[in-house]
Amino acid sequence: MTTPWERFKQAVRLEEPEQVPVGLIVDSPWLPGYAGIDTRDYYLFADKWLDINRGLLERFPDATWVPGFWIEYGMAAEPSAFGTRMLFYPDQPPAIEPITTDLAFWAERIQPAHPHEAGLMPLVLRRYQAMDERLRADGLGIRMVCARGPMAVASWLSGITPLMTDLAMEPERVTKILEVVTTTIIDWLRAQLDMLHAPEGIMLLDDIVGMVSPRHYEELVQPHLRRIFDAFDGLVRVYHNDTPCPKLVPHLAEANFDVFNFSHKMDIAEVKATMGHRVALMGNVAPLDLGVNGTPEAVHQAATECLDKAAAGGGLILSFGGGVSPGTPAENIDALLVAAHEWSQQHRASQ
Amino acid sequence: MSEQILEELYAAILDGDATTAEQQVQAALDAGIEPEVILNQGMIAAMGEVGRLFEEGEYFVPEMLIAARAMKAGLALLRPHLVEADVQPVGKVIIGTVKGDLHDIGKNLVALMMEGAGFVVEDLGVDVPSEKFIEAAKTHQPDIVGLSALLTTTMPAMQATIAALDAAGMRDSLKIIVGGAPVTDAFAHQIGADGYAPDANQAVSLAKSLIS
Ligand code: B12
Repeated sequence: MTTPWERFKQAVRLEEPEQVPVGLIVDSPWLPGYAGIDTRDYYLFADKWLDINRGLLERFPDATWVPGFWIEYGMAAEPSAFGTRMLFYPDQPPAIEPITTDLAFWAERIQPAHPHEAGLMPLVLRRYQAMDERLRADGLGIRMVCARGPMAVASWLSGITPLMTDLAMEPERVTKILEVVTTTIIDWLRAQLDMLHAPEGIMLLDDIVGMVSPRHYEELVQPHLRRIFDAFDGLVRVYHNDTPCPKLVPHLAEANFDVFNFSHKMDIAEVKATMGHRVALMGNVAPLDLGVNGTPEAVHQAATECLDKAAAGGGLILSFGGGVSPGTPAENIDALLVAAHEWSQQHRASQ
Repeated sequence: MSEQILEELYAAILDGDATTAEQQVQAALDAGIEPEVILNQGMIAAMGEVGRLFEEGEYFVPEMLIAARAMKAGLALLRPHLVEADVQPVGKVIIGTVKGDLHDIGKNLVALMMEGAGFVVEDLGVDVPSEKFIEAAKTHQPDIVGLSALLTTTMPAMQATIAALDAAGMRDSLKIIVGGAPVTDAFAHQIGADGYAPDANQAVSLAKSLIS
C-alpha cells in the first residue's frame, strides 16, 4: 500500500491512486483548540507545537496534512515584515492593523522585505530549520511551506476597501504595490524552502483574489500569481482560495498551480469540468455546516457525494472546502477518511 | 429633461463615476428637481440595482465600492438641500465587526447598501469592543445597531455586545441586527437580536421593516 503522501502526489499529477487521498489544511485557528491549549502557547512553545503536530500524524495516519508542520503566527508573518501592527488577544490568532489606509503612501514607500531580517519572518525561518532537524532525526521532515498571496498581503497593508477601490480607480498604484509584495512572497517562500532538507511543495493562500471581476483578475492579479507559481515549477504548488468565484474558475488555472482548494459553495463537478484537466482539486465538503456542526454521518454522506462527482479518473484530494475550521471534531475527520476508503474499495471492485 | 438628468445620475453611479454623479446632482438641482426625487429616483434606485447586480454575480467588490463612492460624492452635494427641504433620513445605523474579528468586506457592503437606501450610517470598523458600540450609541442615538461576525469564535462577542447594550440601559431604544457567514436566524434569536439577514439587500429590507 502506498503512503498517504504518495497518494497525494499521485493525485497532484492527475493520476488515480488506489485510494483517494484525504488532504486537510490545518493551522492555528483550529489546532490549539483541538489540542486544548491557548493559541499564544501554540505559537510560543516549540515543544508543544511539535507534539500537537506529531499527534495529528498518529491520530490520523491516513490523512495528509497540508502543509503539515506549519510554523505560523496566524496571518501575521508577511504583513509584519512590512511593519503593520499586531495585537495578540487571549487564545486567538493575532489581529493585524494597517498603519495607514493610504495606498499612495504604500506605493511611494514600499520596498521588498528581507525574510532573514523583517518582522516575524526570521523567527519562523530559525524554527523551520530547528524543527526540520528534529523531525529528520525521527525519520520525518517538513515537506511544504506557505505564504499568503499578494492580494491578501496587500489588503493587510491598507485595509481591504482602499485596495479594492484603487484596483478599479488607480490600477498603476496597486500594481506597484503588488509587484513589491510578490517579490517578497517569492523570496519568503524560497527562504523557507532553504531551511528544509527535503522540500517538496508550497501553498499560497489568497481569498481576496476571488472578489474581483475576471477582467480585473486577468489584467491586474494573475500576472503576480503566475510569477509566484512559475518560480516554483517542479514542486507541488497548492492554491487556496475560499471565496466562491464561479466566474473566475475558467481563468484561474492559467496562474499555473497544481492543486486548487476552493469554496464548498462551488459545485465540484463544475469546477472539475472547467479546470480538472489541468489542476487537481482539493475539496469540497462544507467546513462549517458539516465539518464543525454536522454529524459524522452527514460528513460521510457529503464526502461520498463529492467522491461520486469528482473522484473517478483521478486528480481528487478529498477535503473540507477551505480549511479545517475551529471546532471541527476529530470524528468528522474520521468520517472523511472512512468515506474515501469505502468509496475507493467499491470503485476498485466495480472495475 | 429631468428624466434624462436622473437617468444619467443613475448610470454614473452604476459606472462608479463620481465626477459625473456630482455633475448630474448639480444639474438636477439647477433644473429644479426636488432633492427627495433626486435621492430616490437617481441615487437610491441606482444603489438598489448595484446590490442586485452584486447578488447576481455581475458586479464584484471593486465595482460595488466605486459605485458607492460615486453615490456618496453626489450625496455630499445633495445633503444640505435635503436638510433644507426637511427630508429626514430613513433611519440612523451604527455598524461594526465585533471584537476579535477582522473580516469587514461583508459589513462594508451592508453599510454601503444601507447608505444607498437612505440611512445615515456610522461605521465603527472591525475588532470593535462592546464599549465602543455603547459609546457610539450614546453619541449617535441610532435606530439600529448592526453587528457582523465571520468567525464562530467571535460569534459569542455578538451576545456580549447585546448584553452590554442592555446593561447600559440602551437595549429598548434601538433595534439590533446581526449577520455574517456563520450567523443564522436561530442564533440571532438565541442571543436576543431583533433580526438577521443573509446579505446586504435583505439587511436593508430588514432594517426598514424594524423601524417602520
Ligand atoms: C475573505 C476572508 C478572509 C480575509 C478577510 C479580509 C477582510 N478584510 O475582510 C482574510 C484573508 C484576511 C481572512 C482572515 C481570517 N479568516 Co477568513 N475568510 C474569508 C472568506 C474567504 C470570505 C469572507 C468574505 O469576505 N465574504 C464576502 C462577503 C461579501 O460575504 P459575508 O462576509 O458573508 O457578508 C455578507 C453576509 O454575511 C451579510 N452580512 C455580513 N455582515 C453583516 C452584518 C449585518 C448586521 C447583517 C444584517 C448582514 C451581514 O451581508 C454580507 C453581504 O452580502 C471566508 C469564507 C467564506 N466563504 O465565507 C473565510 C472565513 C470566514 N475565515 C476563516 C478564518 C478561520 C480566518 C482566520 C482566523 C484565518 C487565520 N489563519 O488566521 C483569519 C481571521 C482573522 C481575524 N481575527 O478575523 C474561516 C472561519 C471559520 C470559523 N470556524 O469561524 C472562514 C469561514 C474560512 C474557512 N472555511 O475556514 N479571511
